[in-house]
Amino acid sequence: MSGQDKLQEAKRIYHQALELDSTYYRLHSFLAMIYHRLADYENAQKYWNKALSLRPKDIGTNLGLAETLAATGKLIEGIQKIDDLQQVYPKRGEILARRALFTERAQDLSLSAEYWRQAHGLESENSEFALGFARVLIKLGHREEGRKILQNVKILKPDHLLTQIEVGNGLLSLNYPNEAVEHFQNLARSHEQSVPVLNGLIRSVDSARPISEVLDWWKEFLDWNTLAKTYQSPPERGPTPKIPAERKTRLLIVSYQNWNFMQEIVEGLAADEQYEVRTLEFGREIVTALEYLKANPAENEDRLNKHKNDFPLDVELLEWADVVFCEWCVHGMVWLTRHLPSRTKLICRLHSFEAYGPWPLLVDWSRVDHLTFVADHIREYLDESLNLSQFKNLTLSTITPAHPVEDFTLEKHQDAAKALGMMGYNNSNKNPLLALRILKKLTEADPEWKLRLVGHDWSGKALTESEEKYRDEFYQFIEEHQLTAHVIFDDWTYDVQHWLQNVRFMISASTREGTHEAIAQGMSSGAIPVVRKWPLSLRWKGAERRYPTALLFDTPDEAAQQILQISNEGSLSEKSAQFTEEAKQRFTPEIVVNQISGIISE
Amino acid sequence: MSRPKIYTLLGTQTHLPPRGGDLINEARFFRTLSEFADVYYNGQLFQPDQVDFGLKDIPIKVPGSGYDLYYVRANKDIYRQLPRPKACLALPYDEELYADADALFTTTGTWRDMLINFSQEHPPKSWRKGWYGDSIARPKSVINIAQSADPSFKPYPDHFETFRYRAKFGYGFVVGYFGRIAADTVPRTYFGALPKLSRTIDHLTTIVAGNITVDIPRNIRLVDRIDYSKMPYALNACDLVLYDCGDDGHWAGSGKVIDAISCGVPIVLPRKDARIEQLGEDYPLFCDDSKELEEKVVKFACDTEYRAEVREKVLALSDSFRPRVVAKQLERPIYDLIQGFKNND
Repeated sequence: MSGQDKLQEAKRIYHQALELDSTYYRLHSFLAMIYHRLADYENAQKYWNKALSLRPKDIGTNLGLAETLAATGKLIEGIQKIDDLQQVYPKRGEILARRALFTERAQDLSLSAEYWRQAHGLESENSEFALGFARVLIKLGHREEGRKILQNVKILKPDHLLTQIEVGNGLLSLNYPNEAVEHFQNLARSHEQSVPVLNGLIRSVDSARPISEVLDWWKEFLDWNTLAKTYQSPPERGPTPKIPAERKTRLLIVSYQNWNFMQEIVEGLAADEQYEVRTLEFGREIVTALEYLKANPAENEDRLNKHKNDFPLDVELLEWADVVFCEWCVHGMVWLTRHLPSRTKLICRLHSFEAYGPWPLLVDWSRVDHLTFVADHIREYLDESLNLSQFKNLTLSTITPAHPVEDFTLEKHQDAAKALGMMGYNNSNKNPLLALRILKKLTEADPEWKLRLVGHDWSGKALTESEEKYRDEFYQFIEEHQLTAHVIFDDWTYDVQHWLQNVRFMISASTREGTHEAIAQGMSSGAIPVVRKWPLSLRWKGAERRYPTALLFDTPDEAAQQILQISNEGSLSEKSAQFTEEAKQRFTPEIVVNQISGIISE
Repeated sequence: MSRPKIYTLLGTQTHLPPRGGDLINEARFFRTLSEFADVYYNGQLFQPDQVDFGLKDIPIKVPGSGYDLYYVRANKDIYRQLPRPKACLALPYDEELYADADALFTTTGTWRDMLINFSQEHPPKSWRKGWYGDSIARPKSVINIAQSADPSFKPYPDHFETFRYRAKFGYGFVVGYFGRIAADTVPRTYFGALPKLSRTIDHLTTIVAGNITVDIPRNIRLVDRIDYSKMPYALNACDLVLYDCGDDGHWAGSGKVIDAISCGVPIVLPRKDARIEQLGEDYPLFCDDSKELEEKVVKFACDTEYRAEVREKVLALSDSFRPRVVAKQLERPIYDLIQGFKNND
């Protein structure tokens, strides 16, 4: 019997009991609670009121009614109910806690913290109160106090999984990533099948570990964790039905918050008469949605329909679509492969960082019609890891990201000739320190060389210990080698086209990249690409295949030598024109939009 | 007369970070004043085009002299210590300030006229809404400083941030409401029409960004708080913006109207005197009841030619809110105020 059936059965029994004795307030109250859980709020309200007519000051009944009111969108009326109750019982923890919760929902965090503080003060052993208090402190950014309360919660309910997940997520939100990793790792040992635990672990590991260690860390983890294995039991599925020819194809484009590489694609497809385009952004609610996952897909589809009204995602939009294009292969994609109606065609675009994390291991690839990669080396790496050819319905492609090349073709400023450029430098993966080493070599040959760095610096960013160390080394290098006058820090800007007018050589010094779009944009502007052979994709020749005509290097010496040689040859303008031309051939949005359109109608 | 030197202060704010409506509105006013005057905020030169207007967080020091005009809002203690001529905003009502100030500033002409002609009968009680009683202290002079647009609010149809918000809002027909929703600002006419609108308009999405303290329909999408610097893009991502106000909308100013039209986004709103002053009698999207709103919004959503026409009209209307244009109207009354004081002195 499913949960819903059990509730229906309970409802029937309580109604029978009421026929025997309708004066017992608890019967009305229980029935109201069941109606509430069945999302029949009208009846829930009716029975809460009946219970209250028999026992007006009952705390549970009043709080229950407040919840039902809130569920029907009457949050303020619910708050009023709780306030009335508080007048009667001024020192009751559960009332204060509920008031805190409702105040939090109304987004008055400071006041909510005050109510939680009072509830927690009255019953410091109550883990729910402590957790609620900690949650609001986290939202308010009160780091130390939040951590103290979380440590307390951890001890109060050591075996309660949901509480412990909240503790881990809280530690992460308060920027204690190493503590969060340790906490989630311990949880994962006792709860191997828990998606929220895995999700917490993924986020903690990403924050706590340098990128070069993440992949090994996951390999080791997935060796003993069985969750991935559960999800790799693909059921057989026939091809997706054809879309009716008499109407436009309904295309839903989905992303998890980051739309950075989608503007030209969405706008291009929306302008095409063949498509009706809508978008959906997965936010934090996708984590909640993941908790609805079950290993049996049939059961999932059923659950989706039943929970339509209180589900965190826009189910109607998902049902409307003929085709769903999912940008980024992360938790949203895992969810889609389990919940999307089977008639809907599902396409995913995988960039780079996802390939080095665990999400592709959890996707049901038998449910996916097409997987497109931004680069061949990522495709080969993942194909090798997941043996994608075993999935009969799945086709693969590589489609490079696009940008409006023409917008970048602006004349270079005169002082650009001896200027290196780097976009987005405030993380160790981009490795600006390596760019400094190249600059040092160049200034030894000619003191006119400069390095321009554009983007946010490290301030205002929560840094892990290793990132902090890296940042310090970076600034120390500038000082020790008297490079202050040679390094120009430009503020973050939308207008990279104009910024690129100052730069003749664009550096990619990264450890790991999918395509490194800044280099492609630089090429469009006529900047000469100077690209490190990205160490994490050496085996698949990632950089070499993505930018075959670039000045490729392994060491700062090699990079500096090539830059000096090309600079001394005196053919910079000619070279620039060649790169712009190459960019037009490869990165123009129309080409990419056509390729994606081809996949949709495949 | 050469550029006058004007001292300004808002409450106990030492500088003007763009947080909250009052700070934003004052900064816009100072930008307009700066067109013809040297504005000093808390003793520092207000520079409209500098980051944080070139203002630093320094302690407030009350000047004894050195300025041609002193304007203080929401700080009576400091107001009292300042030399003349001095001005303050006409809100909130304060008997002492009303009687003492050399000029009261209002943000609309209807408000100015209301104060000048204030009597027991006019304005009607519902317009006063707790702001004014049956009578007021007679002000010496009232100047309509009007409201101007922040130049960063303009059409950005191709900007990435606009695209990002459009994607976030679903890429359908988007109606947006930005700001606090409390009992007096609920867009009731729109909510009343919503069930029918949802049936008629394909992929209608209503988004609300702001602090909500009352119950709203369930099919409204709530959006996280939007930073002021991102507001122009969020507005650009809407097809239509909603605005509602109580009867004080007959005289109080509204920055939201100016923000929306400056971005070229039409705004649906009730017909109130101060809004008519801003948008003109023939503004096509005034709606007094749900039925009228339903008809107008459906026409706007479904008739692309009409939509383009209305967009063009609001953009043309927004020209009159440019700081330079507003400054032209403001320059003379401010000079007269200063000159009048010098002459009497």
